[in-house]
Amino acid sequence: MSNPNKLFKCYKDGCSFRQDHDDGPFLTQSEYDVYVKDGSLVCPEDNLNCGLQELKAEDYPKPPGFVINKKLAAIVGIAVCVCIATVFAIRNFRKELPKIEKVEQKVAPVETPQTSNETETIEPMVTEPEPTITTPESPSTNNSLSALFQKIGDSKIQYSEKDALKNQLIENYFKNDAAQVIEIGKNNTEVDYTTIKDFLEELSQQNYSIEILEVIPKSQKKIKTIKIRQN
Amino acid sequence: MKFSKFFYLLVFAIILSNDALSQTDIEKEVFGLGQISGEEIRLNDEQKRDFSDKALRKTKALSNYISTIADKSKEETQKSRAIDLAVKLFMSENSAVEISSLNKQTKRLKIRAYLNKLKLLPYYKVKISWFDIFFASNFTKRPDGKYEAIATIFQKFEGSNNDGIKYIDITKKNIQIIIEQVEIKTGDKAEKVWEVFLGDIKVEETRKE
Repeated sequence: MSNPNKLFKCYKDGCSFRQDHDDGPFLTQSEYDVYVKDGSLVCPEDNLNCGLQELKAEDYPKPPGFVINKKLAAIVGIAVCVCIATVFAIRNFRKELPKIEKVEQKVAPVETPQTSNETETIEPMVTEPEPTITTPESPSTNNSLSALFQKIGDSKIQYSEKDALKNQLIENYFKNDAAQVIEIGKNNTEVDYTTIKDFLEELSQQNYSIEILEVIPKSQKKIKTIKIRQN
Repeated sequence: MKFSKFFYLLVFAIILSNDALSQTDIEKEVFGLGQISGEEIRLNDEQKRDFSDKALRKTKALSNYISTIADKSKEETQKSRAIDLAVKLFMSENSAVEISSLNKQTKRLKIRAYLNKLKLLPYYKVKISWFDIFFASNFTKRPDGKYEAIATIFQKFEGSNNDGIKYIDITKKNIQIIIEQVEIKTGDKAEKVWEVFLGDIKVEETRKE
């Protein structure tokens, strides 16, 4: 039983098939059968053993599907490389994030220096993670964070006058009234956690002064967490 | 085709392993694993000193709130806020306070009920002051993992009626001080931290001035 997918080709120079057959460089099984019968195949030696024979395995045209898969594989390969690079980049970024935050915590602005005749350039310095005063603005400003805390904790100011100060302090400096206040003890233990709303209420009734140790975030954004110490 | 299959499998494996790692990281953050991990944490001496200071300040704060709540000249708003803040000094709303007088048996009230009762005392003028606050015992660890100490205070109560008649007594009270681990939320993180609270208050002795 002949294979209809077989292809034939003349492997010798001078084979008439090469000139006559315009449909392609190969002959199918059915064409081969017809041309052999009608004698249109002419070989230089005038016989059918002129070299017309089935294609060698390596000469069979590659199926078109294979070419497509090669392209697809290349695309998938590139996509995989991009995916792997992205995954590793994300993982590395996650690992690096806490380190970045730690470094940020270590960098604290230097407090206002003593009055001096010499001009000094003040740059942020890396300090040990011990409590540092990092108030967002100078305490001398009348409505600075420190000044408002002082007023709210001042026993000479009437309790009824303190509500406006409490609202002003929260609105101007804090993200919301649920921002966290962490109280630090003398030995640097975190001894109390409360909201700014409750803390200000307590301060306005108990009347004491505080020292601001740290605000988070340190940028000009509104405060989410503040660390303080009672004086 | 084998080439493509290989890469699909490789990508799938990487995504799975990364998901597993992320899951572990999230669990650590949410459940505080790695920080607590079921391990018993003990307070060192410096921490105990800081918590002792804080406990004394909370005791004094309670004393001030009681004075405010009982003071007939203070505004209602301030008194109500003082009650809320005073209750927050305690372990829970169920913390009990023993009350006594020279003529009556000792009674126990829940903290909020006690403070509300102070606000409504049938006197024209009331003055309550606490003095000689000190720690009667050091913090010791309880079987439940919390630390406990006892602080002692003396309370002087002065109440006058419209006729100017004064009732005065001095009560010695023992306040339970408890340090326990509580979970606080910082942004989307939950963290276990130590906090000091007041517990039950018991009357030890009531006498005339």
